Amino acid sequence: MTENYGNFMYSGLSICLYMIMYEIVIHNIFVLNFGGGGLNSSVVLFLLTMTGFFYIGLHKFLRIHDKLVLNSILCFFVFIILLLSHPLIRLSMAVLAMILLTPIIIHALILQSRRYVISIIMGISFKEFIVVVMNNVSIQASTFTMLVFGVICIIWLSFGLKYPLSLLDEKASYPSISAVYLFIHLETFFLSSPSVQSTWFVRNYVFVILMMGVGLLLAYFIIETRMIEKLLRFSPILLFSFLLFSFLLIYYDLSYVRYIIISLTQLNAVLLLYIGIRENGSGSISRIGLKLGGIQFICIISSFLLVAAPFWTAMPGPVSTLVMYNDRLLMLLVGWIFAFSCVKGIKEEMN
Amino acid sequence: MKILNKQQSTILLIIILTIGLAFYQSYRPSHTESVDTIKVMTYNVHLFTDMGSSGQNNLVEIAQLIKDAGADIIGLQESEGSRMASSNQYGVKWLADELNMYYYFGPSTHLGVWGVSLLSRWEILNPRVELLPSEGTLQRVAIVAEIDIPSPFGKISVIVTHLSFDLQEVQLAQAEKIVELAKNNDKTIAMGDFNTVIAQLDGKSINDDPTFVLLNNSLVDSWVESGGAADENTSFHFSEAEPDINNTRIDYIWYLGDFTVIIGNHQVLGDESVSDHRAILVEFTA
Repeated sequence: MTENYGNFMYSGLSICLYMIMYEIVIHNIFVLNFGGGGLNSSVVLFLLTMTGFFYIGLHKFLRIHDKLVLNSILCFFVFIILLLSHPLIRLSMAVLAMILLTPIIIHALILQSRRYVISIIMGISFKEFIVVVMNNVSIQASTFTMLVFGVICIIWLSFGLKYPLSLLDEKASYPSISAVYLFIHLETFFLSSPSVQSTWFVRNYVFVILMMGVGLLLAYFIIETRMIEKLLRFSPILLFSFLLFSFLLIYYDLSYVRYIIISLTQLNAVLLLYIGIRENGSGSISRIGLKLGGIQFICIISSFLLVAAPFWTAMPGPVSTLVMYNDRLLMLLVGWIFAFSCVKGIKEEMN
Repeated sequence: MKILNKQQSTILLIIILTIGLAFYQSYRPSHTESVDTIKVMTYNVHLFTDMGSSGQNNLVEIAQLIKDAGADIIGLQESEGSRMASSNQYGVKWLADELNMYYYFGPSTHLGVWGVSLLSRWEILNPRVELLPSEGTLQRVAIVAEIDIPSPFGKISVIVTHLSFDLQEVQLAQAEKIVELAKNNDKTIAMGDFNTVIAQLDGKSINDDPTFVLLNNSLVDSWVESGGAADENTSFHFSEAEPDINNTRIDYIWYLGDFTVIIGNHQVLGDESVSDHRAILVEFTA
């Protein structure tokens, strides 16, 4: 296992950029299909976010893990094109970036295993920092935000070139990927967004950011000091805590403890993720791609329902009935699906 | 002696910088100098995306429009940006920071509404969200707040809303609620996207629209008071699919109480490169 600062920065920034691409894809799919013209072929690009299926080909035929530096350079140019483009091209580039970032994420996960959570904490911290620097608007909003994004891409590529990830050894089994991507889905939609956390129930923006940071720092402290190893025997309690805190966070605005719940939800989510990354959770490396594709299909359904919920009057009958006034339930399910993806890891710890 | 390694330092630094920056962005200077007139604007900002499927973010254009107009109080509709469909943007806060104004975000995101917000040069007091009757359709809301404007204006009540566009009886019930809220105070400005278009889709004129009639009989139309025509085409750009209803007037600034509208200072601002609505602006003296 390779573990050095540069690798964690590179893999952390990869996650950060993946989350930003995810936001761009969903926004542009919405605008291109619901903003004016109606449903059209661009919606197919949404299906291409099942990058796990592409990964099978990338690893098998292109041997992408031996060419990760080249992959990163290509991805960098994709980012640049994305910045300068028309929405349809922007959307296509964002999807392509997600496809190219997937092998990097998987590679780092295989190398770092459970320590990958450190990369994820870095990635989320960077994402939140970038969002606050841009003052909670999209990268396309202004010249300044595009510049910020450009700088992050340069920093990312620099770390990738200076601290390339070690080559992978052939193994019989690999760490599981399900919890990681469901966690990324949860973070992108809710937990790592200062905007969403501040307005889900209208809360003080500064305190929200403060408590998001506290949650991440606590999680980092617990994992970095290896205190997490002592908590593993309490895994079912961590699961229950996350279910409870996420429920409270999404359904209620409890006046005095609302901000503490933000921290506790984030903390529990990260600790659960640690447990959810099972060392030998996946068989062959192709199976990682297959599983990932399946998970991403669930994320697509979840994303669609969450996007549709405030526009239920414009949805076809069955969808309308499903999403009508169910914003909270749909958001809660994002968290709970992630939590239940960690159950296998919890069972292994308890055995 | 190293207390923290590079990785620990990085995470700590990034999180501290994030929190520090958030604090810095929250600073607002107060404006206590007296004012002779106030400019009030209502603007439907289309979830911070320009009209149609080009998908360009319109925040910079909106901020520039408001700056150029010199608006003091701005009611926004479709201002909900905290969703992935809108790139998880806190657009209202960004505008407030850009314009150095106070803001009230409005209804919580979990309600699943499209957003109604308020920007003000002066501090916004006692803001609240009122749910409007919305049986069988999207939940609609109004925000009610007070703004303590320096003399000679004093404290005024401001209502911002966005009514339904699909069911006439529901829209009418919502308008009744708006009138009731407006009449609760001595000096009220009630503005927003009132979607007085349902009757017009049936071929009726604005003067036959039940919602418009109710509002017009209960409140004062600042556009008309300023010299505009009641049935003037001002705001909404419909799609080419509905060419008969084009540039209809559905955005209004109503008022009650001791205000005087400055004649001739009503404006329509912006175009479809910014939003599918245009901003409406009127100017008041005390």
